Amino acid sequence: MRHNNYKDFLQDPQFILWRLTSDKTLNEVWKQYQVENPLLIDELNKAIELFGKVKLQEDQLLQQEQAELLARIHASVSTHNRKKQLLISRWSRVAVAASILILMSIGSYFFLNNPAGEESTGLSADLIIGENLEEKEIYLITDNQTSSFEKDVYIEIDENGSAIVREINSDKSQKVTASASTMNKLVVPYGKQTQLVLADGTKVWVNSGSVLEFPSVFSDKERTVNLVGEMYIEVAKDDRKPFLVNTKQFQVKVYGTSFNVSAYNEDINNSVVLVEGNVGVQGTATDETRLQPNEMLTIAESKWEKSQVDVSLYTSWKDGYILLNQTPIDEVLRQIERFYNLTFDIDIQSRPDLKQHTCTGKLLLSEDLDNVMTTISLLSSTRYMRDGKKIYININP
Amino acid sequence: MSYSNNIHEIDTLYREHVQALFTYGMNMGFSRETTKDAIHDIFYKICSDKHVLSAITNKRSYLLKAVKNRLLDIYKQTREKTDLPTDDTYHEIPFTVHATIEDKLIQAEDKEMILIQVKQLLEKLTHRQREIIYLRHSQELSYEEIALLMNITVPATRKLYHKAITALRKQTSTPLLLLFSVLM
Repeated sequence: MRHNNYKDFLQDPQFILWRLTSDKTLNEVWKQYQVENPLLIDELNKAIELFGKVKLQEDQLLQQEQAELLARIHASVSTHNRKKQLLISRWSRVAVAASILILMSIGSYFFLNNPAGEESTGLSADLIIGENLEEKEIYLITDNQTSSFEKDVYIEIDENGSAIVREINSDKSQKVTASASTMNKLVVPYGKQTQLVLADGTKVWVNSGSVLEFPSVFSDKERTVNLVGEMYIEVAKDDRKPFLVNTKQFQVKVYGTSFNVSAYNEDINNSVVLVEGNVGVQGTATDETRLQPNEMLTIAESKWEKSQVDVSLYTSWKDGYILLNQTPIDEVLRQIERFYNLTFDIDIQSRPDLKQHTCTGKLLLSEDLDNVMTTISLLSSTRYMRDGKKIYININP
Repeated sequence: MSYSNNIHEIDTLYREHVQALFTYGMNMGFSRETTKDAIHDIFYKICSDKHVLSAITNKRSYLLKAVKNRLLDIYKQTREKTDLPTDDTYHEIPFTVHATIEDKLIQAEDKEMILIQVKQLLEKLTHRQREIIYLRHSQELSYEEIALLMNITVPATRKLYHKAITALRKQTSTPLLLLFSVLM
């Protein structure tokens, strides 16, 4: 075959075989070729360079698939570990001591590898620093007594108006007498969640950082609860007694339906997301707004806005995971703060580039914070380190 | 508790090798989902048993072999279900290799030309020959590692490789002969 330019080499099977296999005999052949055709060396080198870009692999895992698969592995392993933990609960004290040791060793590893520490301005500018706050208890306050619980609990109000409180994943239960005449108060701190079944059979999932007031026996005319924070509620059907949810800014009126109410004091936007049924939302100075299933009403002080949404994005927290769809990392971390009782020093004004780090996928809210943070860092291409209660996220690893 | 201790090590291991494992599975003709399942299963095993990780000396070939075995298990199970003969037929598993060029700076015309040539050349090989060319040149594995992976002896691996090269050379025999005659 005669070669005039690089294209001729690229069409020569001999050349391709040589570049593909770096076969020894062929090496000799082409070395000799260069000696005999010095004028074509440039063209040959160009062909070699181009061929160097050929890769024998077409099927690549997308970055998101890669992150999702790793999250799936972690989820399987943590389920496996949790089962094991239940079997060896006698050893739990030992296990806790060991985990503290391990966290400390991860921390010192981090500092050893960053001797400059905070002094290196480049590094600290790219770092979000978070802290694991002191654990708080769930409180159930009735007019007779105040009870506190260290673990997530499941509360059921029985027909006599007493509250049966059961620790999740445990057989321990205790009875708390509730008051029929006044409102009982359930205080769920950050880092905890509570499931509650009211006297009429209505099911409520109370999210972290929320306060719910409810009577142990509903009145004859209506069923009323007061909320600060977030809950998902499946209201038992009763056409004669409307169900009312009062928040600081609005009231939701229902007859038998499932929906999510988010009314945190610190959030600018509150919202009501309707899963099924029919609700009306009323502010102090506004007319009632009716919602259809799959609709969300966003409530900011002056502005009410209705939109069509994928309800699972707003309600999945009750099933132990959150769905993310191009969600900026600062918003993800705000949610994580609530679920795990953390605080992050995010200043979006000074770091507008944070919005470019987005997460897409399913984030399992497992008991192991390391798993959760690792998944977030994979989804958002950041790096996560933990030193005891301190959490570091490097934005540009 | 070994898990949280190992977690960074395992994540690193995953990130370094997942792409190669995935491509290998896909080259063996399995679907994306099946290949992902197999990768999930082997990493799950590594995470669940801390002794596995410390016992591995050559991580890449260990992982490739583990994924291959897992895929073969899945393959056998589905074959059993479809009432096909269940003898050890894994030599028949097709192995295809696709070439790609990701560089955007290369002209489309040149790209096309290179890919067609490579494709024509690789199509002349048997599945096993293609697999060994892929392992040797794309994964850069040694004969020893390939032998382990393909379940054959090291001499047999060398033989298979040289057969593949000879087969390729035959395709290009005319210009090679011409060249040799020029050199003589």
